[in-house]
Formats: sequence, structure tokens, C-alpha cells
Amino acid sequence: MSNVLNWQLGREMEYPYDAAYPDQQFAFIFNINRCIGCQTCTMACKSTWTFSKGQEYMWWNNVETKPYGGYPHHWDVKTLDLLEQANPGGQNWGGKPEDLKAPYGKFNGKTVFEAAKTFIGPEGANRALGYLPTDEEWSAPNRYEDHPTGSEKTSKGQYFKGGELLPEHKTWFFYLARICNHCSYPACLAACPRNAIYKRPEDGIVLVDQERCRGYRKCMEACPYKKTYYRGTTRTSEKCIACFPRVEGKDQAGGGLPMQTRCMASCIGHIRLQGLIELNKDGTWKEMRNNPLYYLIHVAKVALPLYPQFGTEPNGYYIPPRWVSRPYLHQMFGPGVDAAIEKYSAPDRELLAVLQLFGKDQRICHRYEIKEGPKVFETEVRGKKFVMYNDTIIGYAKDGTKIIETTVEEPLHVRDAKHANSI
Amino acid sequence: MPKDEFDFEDPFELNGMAFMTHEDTTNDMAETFIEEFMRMGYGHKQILALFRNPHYLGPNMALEKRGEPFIRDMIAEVFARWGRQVEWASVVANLPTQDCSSRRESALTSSTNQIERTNVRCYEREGEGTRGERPLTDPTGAPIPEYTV
Repeated sequence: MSNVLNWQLGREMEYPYDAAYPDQQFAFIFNINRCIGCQTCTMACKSTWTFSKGQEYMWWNNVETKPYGGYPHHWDVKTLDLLEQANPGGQNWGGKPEDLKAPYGKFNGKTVFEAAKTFIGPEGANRALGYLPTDEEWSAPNRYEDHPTGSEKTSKGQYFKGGELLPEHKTWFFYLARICNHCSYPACLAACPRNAIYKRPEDGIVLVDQERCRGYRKCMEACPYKKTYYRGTTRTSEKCIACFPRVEGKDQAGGGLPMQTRCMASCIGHIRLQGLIELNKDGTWKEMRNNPLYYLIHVAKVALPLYPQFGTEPNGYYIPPRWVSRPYLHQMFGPGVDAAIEKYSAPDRELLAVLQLFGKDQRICHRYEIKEGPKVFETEVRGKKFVMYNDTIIGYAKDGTKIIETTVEEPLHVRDAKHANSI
Repeated sequence: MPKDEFDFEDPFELNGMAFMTHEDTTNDMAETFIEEFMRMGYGHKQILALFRNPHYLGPNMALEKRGEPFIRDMIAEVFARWGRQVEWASVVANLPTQDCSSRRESALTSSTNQIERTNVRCYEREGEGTRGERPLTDPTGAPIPEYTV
């Protein structure tokens, strides 16, 4: 075991390999406040990468109805439970937030790597604490999820003839969109006995070498997010590849510029923003003040990692939903939740402008600048003074090409009915 | 290795879980969706279409739970908070951009809900009032029929 810095935990932690960081890191932010569970992202991914035989139960992108649903079933509860068993009562946060090396304070508990030593199974200690989901748990991505029972052209309950209407959820819920987090310290990579999983030095995307993989499924067992999948027809594991041809700029639609993944680009709610982050030698983020991801994660601090306590340093971040039970959100996103929601609920001038970059262009925005516009509105939002300026935000690709220009008061262009679906 | 059979006796197989709270936050969720999509440039009719469409699960569930009048009122309430007028009775026509007080009052009176009256100052918005003159589409591009609301 090596000691590596996990800045999301505010401390060093044990990891089976020495620290090695890519030149750039694939990272993304999902704004849960905007997700309405339409599953467009899910189908964009499915129709691009996992439509073949043997991939029927692969959902590299899925959207879960939390807290009921999850794919595989109860993936997060089970891993949290294993960690609690390994370190009863000790999975707590403390310390004071510091800048880049401990923005959420310090995690005092055990990660999946540290807990593995004390959780000895029939085959001895694993490199990462985890479990292998049963076939049953993989079999139904829609169990406990919300689903339409009618369409706009039929009445409620008539979507399938003879279908049953189940009781609806009477309490809080939200939609959690998930893909592989392309972690800085991947548990799948750590667990693979064949060294078949690797992290690309150019963009930090985690891939499974299909030539080396023998389908031992140690990656499935170790990944706390359960984002590797077994394919029976090839007897290998497969996972989200972060649409790497697009990230490399090989999709013709991008004109040679790096593009966001299919799931990001297809989102109708504009909840997603993906980028490439430059790293310091210790794995912390280089200061890129006008990079939208850097701003939202390290300056505004409205976007938080998913289950940072697992210890893999996931590169997927979420703007937490405002309406959800805070203890649940603390467990899911760590101690930064309260400040994030407070800031997001009454956004300042810069935050309001940067939020406009979500879903605006398929190409990756590397840098933004804001041109100040006129004041259009002032009021109180939840007891706080709120002033809105119709600023213009301009986004640039890494090579300086201007790819986005929009205003805070976004104009709405309505396609006429004749050409509504003509794309 | 994964088990071939589902074992109901397996104590590790979770069949339910406890929530930390059973609070119903449907209203807050609906309000958030309205505000988010409004900020993205959606008009009030398009937002109502989101709630009406069963394929948009979260909004539709809120509409199913609370009823359409409640959702319409909430749309008006959120739009009013951001200084925007909602008229459900007819297609939005061109509005004088400077007549903020009447717009605000109109929006307030269109709601049957008690909403927080705040000291709002409006400034001119470019292009305000042009929405709704052409056929509207929902987020999938499908035309939204004119509602008699």
C-alpha cells in the first residue's frame, strides 16, 4: 500500500498503487435541481455504446429515483453498510475546510481501501472493500424507480394494457444521474488481478483492456459505485468509456475540438457540464479560475463529489437538490452540502452567469469570460437580497475558439411546428 | 461469483430501507423545477407542458399529487418572484416592458395561493412579450396544443 493524497477527504489515504496523475482529468458536474428523470441521457448512451448482444443489462449511464431506486439495487446502501461494519460509528467528518487540499474538512473514517484490511472474506482481504451484486440485483434497472404509466396521448395507467398502477412515493425523492466517475484512485483498477484496467495519462479516463480482461469480476466487486459490468457473451467486463473519441476531438461534429460525451450533450434539462481539468503534481487541481468546473467546485463550491467517503476521489460532482432531507444529502455528498445549497439558492452574479454554460454546446468549454450587462431585476430570494444582471457569458474551447455566447436572460428560440422535429 | 438464484433467506439481501425523514417536499421540488426551467428560458406554457407530460416523471408526479391548478399557481408565483407575468387565460401578447407594477400585480392576482410580496423593481428586458406568438414546442420538439386554461 502507498500513501496518496485524497484532497476530497482532506488527508492522505492508503491505495494499492503509487500516486500517478494524468496530464488532464475528465470531470463533470450534474445539477440535480434540473433533472426531471426523462432518461434521455440513458438512451443516448445505450444507443451509442451498449446496444449489442450481451449488453442488455449494461446501463453505463442510468438515472435513479433516490432514495428508492438504484442500479444495481441498493448499491450505495450496501457499500455504506459494509464500511459501517468495518468501522462502527467511525465514518465521520471533522476538521476545518481549507482550500484546495481539504475543501470539505477532514474525513476521519475509513475508505474502501483502508477498510478492506479489516474485512477478511473467504478469499482473504481484498484490495478494496466491496461486494459482488447478485444476478437479481442487476436484473431490473427499473425496480423501485418512477416510470410513466401513460403518455401524453393516453390516459393514466394505459401505457401498457393490463398494467398495474403501483402506489406512488409519498415522501421526498430526487433523480440521481450516474455514470462512471473516472476516479483518481479507481477501486476497479486497484482490484484487477490482471492489470487490465488503466487510467489514460492524457485525460484520466479509466478503461478496461478487453485483451487482458478475463472476466474475474473483481472490478465489479470493488467499485463502490458499481459502474463496471460483466458481459456474458465475451466473458469480459465493460464500463463507461467517457465517449473518449469525442473527448479526443475525433467526432466530426466538433470540428476537431474536444467534445462532451453523448449523455452530457443529449440532456434536455441542461443539467450537465463536462470538462478537462489540469492537475498539480500532488493531484490537486491547478488553479484555473475561469474554467467553469474549477469555479463551480473550488470557488463557488456548489458542486460536490458523490460519496467522497468511499475514498476513490470520484471526478463526478453534483449540485445537490435543494428540497431533499439534509442528513441524507450529508451522507451522499459530504459536509459541504449546506453551504452549497445556500449559495445555489441565491446565486451571485458570477454563479448565475456560469450556470448558463450547462448544455449550451457539445464542445468542451475550457474557459469563460463575463461581459457585464444591465441590471434587470432586484428582489429578495428566500430572505436575501438578489440582484440580477443580464450579463453575457462567453465560453472558449482550449484552443481559444469561441464556442458559447449567451446571456443570463436567455432568449428562447421556438422552432415552428412545421420544422419541430426536422433535425 | 454471483448467485444464480435469488435467495430470500439471505440476510444481506436488502428488501427495504429506512428513510431519515418522511417529509413530503413535493412543493419545494416543483418550485425548483419551475425556477430552473424558467431560468433556462422556458415560458410558462412550456413549463406546464413538462408537468403534464407523464414522461417527465418528477414534474408529472407533482402534478398528479397536487393537481394542475396548484401547479399553475406555483408557476405564476415563481414567475412573479422573478418579475415576470403569467397569463393563463390567453396566449401572451406583447406587453409594455416598463409597466412593471401592473405586471407584477396581475401575476399576483392570478394566483390563488398566498405568495410572498416582495419589493420588486423591474428593468427593461429585451424581447419580453414576444413569447407565445408562434406555436410552442415541448423539450422534445413536439408541438404543444393551445390550452383552454
